[in-house]
Amino acid sequence: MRFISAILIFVSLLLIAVFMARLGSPKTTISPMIGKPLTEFSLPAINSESDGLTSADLRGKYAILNIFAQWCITCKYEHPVLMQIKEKNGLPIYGVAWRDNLTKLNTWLKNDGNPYEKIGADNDGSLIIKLGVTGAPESFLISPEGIVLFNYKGALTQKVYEEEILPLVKK
Amino acid sequence: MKKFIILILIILPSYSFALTAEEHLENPAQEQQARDIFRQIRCVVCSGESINDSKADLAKEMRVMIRNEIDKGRSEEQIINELTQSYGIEILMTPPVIKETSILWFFPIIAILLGVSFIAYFFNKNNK
Repeated sequence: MRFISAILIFVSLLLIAVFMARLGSPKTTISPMIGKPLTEFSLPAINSESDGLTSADLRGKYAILNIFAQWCITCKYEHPVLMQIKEKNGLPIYGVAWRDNLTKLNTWLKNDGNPYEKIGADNDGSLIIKLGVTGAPESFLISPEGIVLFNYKGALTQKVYEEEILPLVKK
Repeated sequence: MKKFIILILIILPSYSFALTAEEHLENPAQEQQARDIFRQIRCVVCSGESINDSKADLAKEMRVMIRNEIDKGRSEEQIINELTQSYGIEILMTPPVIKETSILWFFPIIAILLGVSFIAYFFNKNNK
């Protein structure tokens, strides 16, 4: 009977370990968007001096699509990293301003710098939902063919850019 | 008179808010269909709430999107498929029984069976 008891305890512990491992697995945080074509979209401009943003703008090159907002504190923390990428002639960054106050957004970008090639305003969150976004900031690496290669939830850092994004870019 | 003015000032902001609330679909059958979908979709920024019950902005945006899709003539299956494509099956309040969710469905059953076996084993042992 001791043998049966030992087996029962072993199987229980094994199941608990498997369950905990599944809960903590990084696979659970992989975006379902990876490997899929970027959805077609067309967003209006954030001011009268610039164009809006369409999915066609991201084609033909590796590009970062960054979801951000002026009301988002983490986006302000991320902003210097994006500026650094731009200043070092890194990958082009395209912005999606999510549910934003455009007057405040334009003032912020004018004062702190604009790291984006183009920005589109997603006023009703329709693109956000199609991209499976849960919060701002969030970034996607898009291939020249328009395939989503990488998704990062949270503030992009120089480390993530260099160690996780750049290795995916084929030279 | 002063109390009456204060009362009006208190009521006025909530009345204005009601005017800007989400627009429902005019067709009652379509609105019912939308609500059926809301109850099946998990709020991705809340814990254990459907978008039907959530007050989060993202849940509100999803409700607006779903109503728009229904208005365009999209079926319930198409809308749910599209949301699952974007967010994965985690967005469903009741995940389907598939390989990826098998542990979620069968672990509690196995745990109960093991628990019962333990109790039965020790109960028998103590009775001997």
